[in-house]
Amino acid sequence: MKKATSLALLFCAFGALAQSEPGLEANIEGERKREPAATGIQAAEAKDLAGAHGDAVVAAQMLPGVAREPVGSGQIVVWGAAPNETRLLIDGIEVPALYHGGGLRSVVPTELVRRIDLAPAAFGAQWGRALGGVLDVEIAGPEVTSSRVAVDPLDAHASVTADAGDNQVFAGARYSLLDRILGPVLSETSREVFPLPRYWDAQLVGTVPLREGEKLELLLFGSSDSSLRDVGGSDPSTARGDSSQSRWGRLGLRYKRLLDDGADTTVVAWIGDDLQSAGTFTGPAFANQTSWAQSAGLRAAYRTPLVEGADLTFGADGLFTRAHLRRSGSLATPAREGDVTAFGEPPGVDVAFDDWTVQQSDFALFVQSELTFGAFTLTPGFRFVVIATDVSALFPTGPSSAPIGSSQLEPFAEPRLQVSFRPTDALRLFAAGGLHHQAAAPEDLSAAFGAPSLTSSSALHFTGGASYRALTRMTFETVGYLRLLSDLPTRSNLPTPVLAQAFVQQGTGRSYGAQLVARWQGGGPLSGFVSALISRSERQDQPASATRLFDFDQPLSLTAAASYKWGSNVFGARLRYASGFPRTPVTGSFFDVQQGREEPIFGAQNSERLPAFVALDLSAAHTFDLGAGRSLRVYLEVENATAHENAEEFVYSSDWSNRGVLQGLPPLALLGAELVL
Amino acid sequence: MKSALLVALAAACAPDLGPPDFLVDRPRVIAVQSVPPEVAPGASAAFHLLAVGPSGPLDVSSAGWAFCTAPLPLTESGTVASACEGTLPQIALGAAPSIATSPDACGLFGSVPSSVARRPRNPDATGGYFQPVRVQVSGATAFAQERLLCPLTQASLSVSLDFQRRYTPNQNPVITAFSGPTEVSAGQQVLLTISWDQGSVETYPVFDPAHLQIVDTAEVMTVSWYATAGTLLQDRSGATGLSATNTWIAPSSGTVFLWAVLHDSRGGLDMASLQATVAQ
Repeated sequence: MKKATSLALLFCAFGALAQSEPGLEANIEGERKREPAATGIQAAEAKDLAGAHGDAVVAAQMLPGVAREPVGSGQIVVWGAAPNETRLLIDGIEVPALYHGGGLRSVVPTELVRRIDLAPAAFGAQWGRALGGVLDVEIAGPEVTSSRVAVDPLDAHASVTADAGDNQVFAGARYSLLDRILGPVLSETSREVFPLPRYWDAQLVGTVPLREGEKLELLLFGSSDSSLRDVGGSDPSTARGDSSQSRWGRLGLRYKRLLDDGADTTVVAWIGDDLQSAGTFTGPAFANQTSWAQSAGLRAAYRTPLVEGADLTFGADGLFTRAHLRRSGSLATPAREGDVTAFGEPPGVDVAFDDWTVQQSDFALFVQSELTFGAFTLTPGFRFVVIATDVSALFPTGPSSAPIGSSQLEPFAEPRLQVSFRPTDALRLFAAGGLHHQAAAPEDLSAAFGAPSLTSSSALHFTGGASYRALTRMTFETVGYLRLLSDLPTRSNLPTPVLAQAFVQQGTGRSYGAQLVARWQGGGPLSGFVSALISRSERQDQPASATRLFDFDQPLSLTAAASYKWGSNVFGARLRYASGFPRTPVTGSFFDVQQGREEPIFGAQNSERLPAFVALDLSAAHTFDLGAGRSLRVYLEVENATAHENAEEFVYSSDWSNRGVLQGLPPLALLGAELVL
Repeated sequence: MKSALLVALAAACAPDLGPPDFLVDRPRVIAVQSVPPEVAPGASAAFHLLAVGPSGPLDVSSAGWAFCTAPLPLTESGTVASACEGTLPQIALGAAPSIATSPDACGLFGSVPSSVARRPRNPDATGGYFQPVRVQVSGATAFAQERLLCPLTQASLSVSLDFQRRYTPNQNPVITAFSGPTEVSAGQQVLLTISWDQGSVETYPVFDPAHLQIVDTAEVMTVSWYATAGTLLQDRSGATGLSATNTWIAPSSGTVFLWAVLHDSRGGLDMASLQATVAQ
């Protein structure tokens, strides 16, 4: 009955949308405020979207251009770029992850978020270090003294905003409940397949008002995630399991000053500490990796108007990282993008070991000018980058040989250009392009598991499109893009690889596609959007190898989302369709006598796909006014309301002769409450 | 503050994917015992084959044998290169041929690459390097792995010499008994016990690259269980002692063949069988 009511509301909402009722408010920003191809979403709107669990940053996963991620992954795949090719920022501070527990919850509480912006490609000269896009969570400084407590089946969260003299301080913390609540309910099989995450996060934000138009913010973020799965632990020959742990913290200062002449300056300085570890084993086969990293970043930008219709922005952007990594076990585990593997395949039986240190500094100077000539706006930019990389060992070191380190200095010039043309107030045409580089990842610079000699990868981005505002409330937007990648690290395919060159820098790739978004704009009770992304992403691992589909290629992705405010109630609905990711079929098997198990024989790489994903999510929330500024918000969210059996992964019988699918979430209802005092 | 949970999770997310691993419902190669189980490159070993089907042991006189000389590339997962799955020159026929490993096996599969500028292979967790041996019979394909005596090259000279002095080539384990009733009633739960002699559990040195030292390690024995009918509670079981047990639930009728394959950590094995008649 409840489902029927929600469905009726959904149809009501879209009916209202079609009839262009007045007073509708924007959900996703129609204007590209920061980058030509960027999309963004206000936190206040994002938290009401079905599927966001009341978490604004989770809603970023449904922004146009973001592929529907596999359940439990929490990865952001933007316009055919690998997850590690997109930079994740909180107010300009780089962070390793935005989500806990596979994407169900973000690391930033919604009350601390002003908006989320995604630049999927061809961003300006002030940004770099990304072959893919840039996702920035803009923090809203604490303004109103309040306390907040929220609980739902995922976690419990509390925060307080208070005055401290002339300053304002926000403090918040969150602790997961999912493993405690769902753990006893799930079957043993389900727990084996989906290890329940355990997480916490904490934030401290302080605002110090200085002179007029001048502000200093202190930001402290911490986050921890862990999961453990242990199956059959008493028998060493059949035991299998895996574990992962991620802990990171950031301490940052953000200074902003607006000057009387219209100029402004922004400085963000931060330090961070990261610990990432993951391990898996099946019988005697294992793979473990631990990474400790300390990092520091500095971004300073000054923008000044030159003459009417022209301004200039210049600044510096630096990141220094020192990472100490330790890895043991099979080279093939964990699988990388491009590896041919199947779900459930145990780690390789080979054993290697390495312990290495990487120091990397990525420093850039950038300049960008925005020049307006009537209806034309030209934004040329230039970024000069120097990447210095020191690796502790260029070759595997033995006990009788001293390690020989390696140092590389890579200078890059990265020209960027953005052009827009606005022939009418309603129509805007734009195009942008640029050259981008991304330094080699420290985990790829092992003499035993990777190649210390790896250098940066590069990408050429091109994008162009148009936006049209119709009937003052509806905006249509279409964007095409092309991303050309080169110098990607891939595994060496030589029968006997060169020493310390398990990876070679011979990979290339291209992603292209078109995106269409229709947004309902206005200030009324209804907000919503429909987006469609048609794309193709390919990789070529070696010059002589065949072009294959990118592991995260998703040819078609459709999302329709709407929320409707009715008095103290908010109703939301989201409908998603997404093509399945490519998979490599298993065409046969052979028996490995020593391991005592069947091993798969694979067909053509990525030559088939998982079935398409379809899900309807519904949400409803009611806010009780308790007087004196206090309120209680109760919300109910139903994910996969139609109980569509989505295939998240192919799974095989132990002899690889039978295949089934691992199904995603069944209908899942979450009831939660948030008390604001 | 209260919260409530409405969870309508499905009972299980993993589908049922057919018969269990232990069930012999088609021709299968379940064991290849090489004697000796560890040889120097170029040396010969005799390979004894156990192939079975739903009606019992298969005739393996027509089994075709081939050595694969393609090492596993870094672009592939698993234990054997995909190149070994294609056409290979057949080098022997029959149930127990004697085959010589490649003279350059330690170069292809081991610790001694053809050039110092090339990458040596990684050993397994026991420090072992292996050359794949393919056998095909009655439509079933299997790979055995012949363990190679290759020098320890990751360690210092003194450690390598110490390793060489202490290392004893692996020997196959020896099953002393595979016991269980030969006449059972339908649905009866039967305890199967397999025992092996004390010498089967060898202690061997292995180089620990993390601590740059040699560590003495005792072999862990693993038993793979197979049956043509009924239900075995375990497909595989491990043991650190001198025996292992499993429970078999008899089917409704018929003659059932049961096999146990005993593996040691370093690639040695032994096999035994049992035949039981189920009274209705």
